[in-house]
Amino acid sequence: MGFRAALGERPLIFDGAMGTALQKKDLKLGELPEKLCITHPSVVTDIHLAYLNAGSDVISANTFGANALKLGSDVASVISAAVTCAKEARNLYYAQNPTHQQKFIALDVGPLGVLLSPMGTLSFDDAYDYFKEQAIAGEKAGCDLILLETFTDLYEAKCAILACKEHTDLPVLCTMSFETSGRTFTGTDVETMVTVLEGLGLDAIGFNCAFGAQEMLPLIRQALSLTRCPIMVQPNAGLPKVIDQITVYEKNLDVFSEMMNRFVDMGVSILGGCCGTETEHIESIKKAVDERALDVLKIQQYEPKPRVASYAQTVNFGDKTIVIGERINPTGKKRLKEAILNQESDYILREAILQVEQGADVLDVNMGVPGIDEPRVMREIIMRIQSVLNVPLQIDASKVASIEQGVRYYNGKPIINSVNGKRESLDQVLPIAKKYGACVIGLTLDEKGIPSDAAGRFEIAKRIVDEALSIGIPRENIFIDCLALTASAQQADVIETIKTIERVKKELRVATVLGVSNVSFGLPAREGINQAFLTLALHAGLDAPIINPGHALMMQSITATEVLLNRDQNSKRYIEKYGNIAKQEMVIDTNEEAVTNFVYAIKNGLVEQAKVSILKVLAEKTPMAIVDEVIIPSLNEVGLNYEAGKLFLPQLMQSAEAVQAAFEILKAQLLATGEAPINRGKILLATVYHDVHDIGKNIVKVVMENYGYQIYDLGKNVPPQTVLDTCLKHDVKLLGLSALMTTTVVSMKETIMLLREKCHDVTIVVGGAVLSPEIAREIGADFYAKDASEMVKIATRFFES
Amino acid sequence: MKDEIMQYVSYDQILRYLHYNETIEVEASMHQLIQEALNEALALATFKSHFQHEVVEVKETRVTLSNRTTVFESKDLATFVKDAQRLVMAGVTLGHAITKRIENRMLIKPSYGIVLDACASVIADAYCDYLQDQMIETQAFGDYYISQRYSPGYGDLKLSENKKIAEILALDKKLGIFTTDYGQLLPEKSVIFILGLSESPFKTQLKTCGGSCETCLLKHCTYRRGQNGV
Repeated sequence: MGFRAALGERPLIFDGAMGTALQKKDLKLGELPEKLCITHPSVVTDIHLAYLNAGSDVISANTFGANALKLGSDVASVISAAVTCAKEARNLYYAQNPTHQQKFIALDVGPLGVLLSPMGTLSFDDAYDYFKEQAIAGEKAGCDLILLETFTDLYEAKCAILACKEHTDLPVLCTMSFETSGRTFTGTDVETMVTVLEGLGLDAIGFNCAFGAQEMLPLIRQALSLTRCPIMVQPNAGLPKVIDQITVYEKNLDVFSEMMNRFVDMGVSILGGCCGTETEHIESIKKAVDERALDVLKIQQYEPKPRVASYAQTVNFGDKTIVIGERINPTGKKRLKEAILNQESDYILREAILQVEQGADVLDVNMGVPGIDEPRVMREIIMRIQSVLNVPLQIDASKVASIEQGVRYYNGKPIINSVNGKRESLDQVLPIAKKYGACVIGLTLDEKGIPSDAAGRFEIAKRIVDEALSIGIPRENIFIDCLALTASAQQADVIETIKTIERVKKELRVATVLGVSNVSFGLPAREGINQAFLTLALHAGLDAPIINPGHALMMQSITATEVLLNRDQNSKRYIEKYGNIAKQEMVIDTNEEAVTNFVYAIKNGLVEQAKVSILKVLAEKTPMAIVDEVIIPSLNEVGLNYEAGKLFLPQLMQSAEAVQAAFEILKAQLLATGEAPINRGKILLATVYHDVHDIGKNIVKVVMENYGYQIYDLGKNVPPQTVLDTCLKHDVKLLGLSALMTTTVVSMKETIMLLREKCHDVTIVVGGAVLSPEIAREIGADFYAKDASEMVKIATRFFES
Repeated sequence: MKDEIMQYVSYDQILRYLHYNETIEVEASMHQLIQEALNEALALATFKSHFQHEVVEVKETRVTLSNRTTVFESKDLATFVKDAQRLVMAGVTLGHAITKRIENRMLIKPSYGIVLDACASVIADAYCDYLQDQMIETQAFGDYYISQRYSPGYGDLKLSENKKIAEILALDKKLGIFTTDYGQLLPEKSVIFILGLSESPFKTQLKTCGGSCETCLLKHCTYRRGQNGV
């Protein structure tokens, strides 16, 4: 019988702590416990055997930290030795117990100890390779299953799961460690962990370490209510204390035992122990399991619900109308298209953040611009959005490769937008949704186009739902978009969309989404049509409109309809939102001439006034003249005041914000008129390799952009080769490198040396808290800039010469 | 606890981070912005700490943890904890949420982003001060005298020594603090520090990091700004 069959039959018992047992065997502090499998195999074997004798069904090989980051090149040999120890113990046990139940050996895999990007520095792909090496070695050595345990970063857990599932056929279990706050260190809550991990095809998910069984109870209760996936628990013996440099655990076997009884009754499928637990703890679990007849293994009671999640936030469909922000989609948006082409990720991120501030619950992300490597761009922008926002994302692409990249590298459970009724689409997209546990939107169109009537569209929706269900995608992960047609061209068909929504909700019992604003295309006063259509759709059962949350009246329609449909009890949300509207920044529209007003706005950092006054200035001057004659002289004056100590950093930034807002209006104007964009020269900015502090560089960027330079911002922790490649690719001649610590000035020097060797005609400016003109000279830089104002002067001289 | 930590927040230090000097009066709107940022930083911070102490052997240029193979090669640290019999190693963090919010605000409203960053840095220091005082008040180490605070990166103690301490304390597992290859800490608003414990009062007390590099005796320091310090 394999592990999976045994798991379905009875609660399974894992072992207790390995580390605690090794400490008792005089393991020297600081030694790698995994290496004892080679140096002291009998010690490890004895520990395994003791757990088998205590009642463990599964023993975990001593491989928790057996990865290349900790062991170097010894991974396969250490894992082989560890599994040999476990097998030896199992053989001894079988020999001593001829009528035994089958025992299993788990490859034990812990976190790598390095934080993954974008929070940390290790790339997903590198982490994947480390886990892959472990998984392959474990299977080859003869493990029956893989236990991924003690993860605190959901992204690392996802990475490890994919590596194990893509390179072995073994069952995979995954447990995470939480704090008493109910979240992991990186911010994942229980609902989110379950939502993301259950879709990745695990054999069990659960909790281990951090605290004792009692503290784990509420987490377990919540997890059981959220999933059909078996739940696993491995609590510590109690809360930890350090005595004489050794961590010990408050031991209360009675409490542990009582809790284990409760866990079995609640329907927990796998039980074991973590830090501080010993054979007596395993014996108490064995007793709890044996005292119960096998048929008490409960089927977990839970109600499936459409849920999507980032790594830190879950959005439940059905509780309220879910707003999907549509603005990160270049269709019909020249400025966004330009930003994607120019790799202006800051513009895209600002659009993302603003939509969330305007009320979006989920963000649609579409990078469909011709002439770019769309899958790569999709992956990169998703990583960036995740670093500043928690809302779940909707991966929107017509290219299957872009969908797969987006879904694979997303730290969460996204929505795929979209599949449709065409055979090719079903065959290509649904397996991605299944593999990664993503939700998927089905569009009601097929090879024949969009049926004009509700019956035709419903038929396609049903086909998509049936097909998805048949390959194992759960119903709650399937959404249908009944497609809005334009009232100006197909007026009679508009109501068919509404009718289809009603039928899909009632007969197929899946969630519905709808891109709303297409309906008004070609008509004047579009918002009126959009609002009316949205209201009808919500009444018909629409769960999630895809709209621009910046349209206040559309957002108000949603909140108001929820009141009228009695979904917003006591109008609570409506009152919260509209009961106390905040005052807007007052715009002083004096009778002064437009330029004077604009200059005043820049010098005083007044964003709204800058937006209003630049429109008037545009009537008098060309965009380039505005930059040269108004913006730059004003910013120079602000810069001089800053240098003189009359203005301070926040005020410098406030002026920059005012110009930033005005610049967006200028850029839109230039795009609309087809004029060449403002570009006073290209500058590359990067915080050097191994340096993760980039606030200084970001300040420089904000200021430089306002002078009309085109900035290539490579972010932080940038390898020298990436700096060089970007320089060559975009023919950049002026670079700004930043480092915060003396230790990373070494990286700065390496970057400069590489640039000098391979790219002779670049001018390099360095800056950062620990730099000085002397150090700049020593490491081969051309200039040292002590702050953003200095960088402006250097750039001005550079591009004028 | 948050209210108590607030008592340790140095408002002057926030202003220094924002390049204010004493000669110019700070506008009321700036005070308001700082207060708003302080409140938000405090709300987002998840204060976590972990420390332990071990027997230490101090020689001229090296400090050795007696029960381990761990050695810190540093004349400055050795001078600093010359009279110590034990060494406290501590890690503290404000968590990831604050870093993410700073990055978010730097995109939308950088003038607020830099204030939030300054407030978070000062709150991290305040948390360390608070913990130190708590250690003294609760007599966490019995009758031992406690030295001032010292961190990797000060003087000739390399920043990369953060890795050793993080490993000993298992900070990745206990607090979610990770070290980069060069010893920087993630989440960004995290601190690792060392305290000496001695049965007699410490004679050597260096003024370490009070914000002014000019007055600091540690001439070679990872955090030292510019040629002369600023």
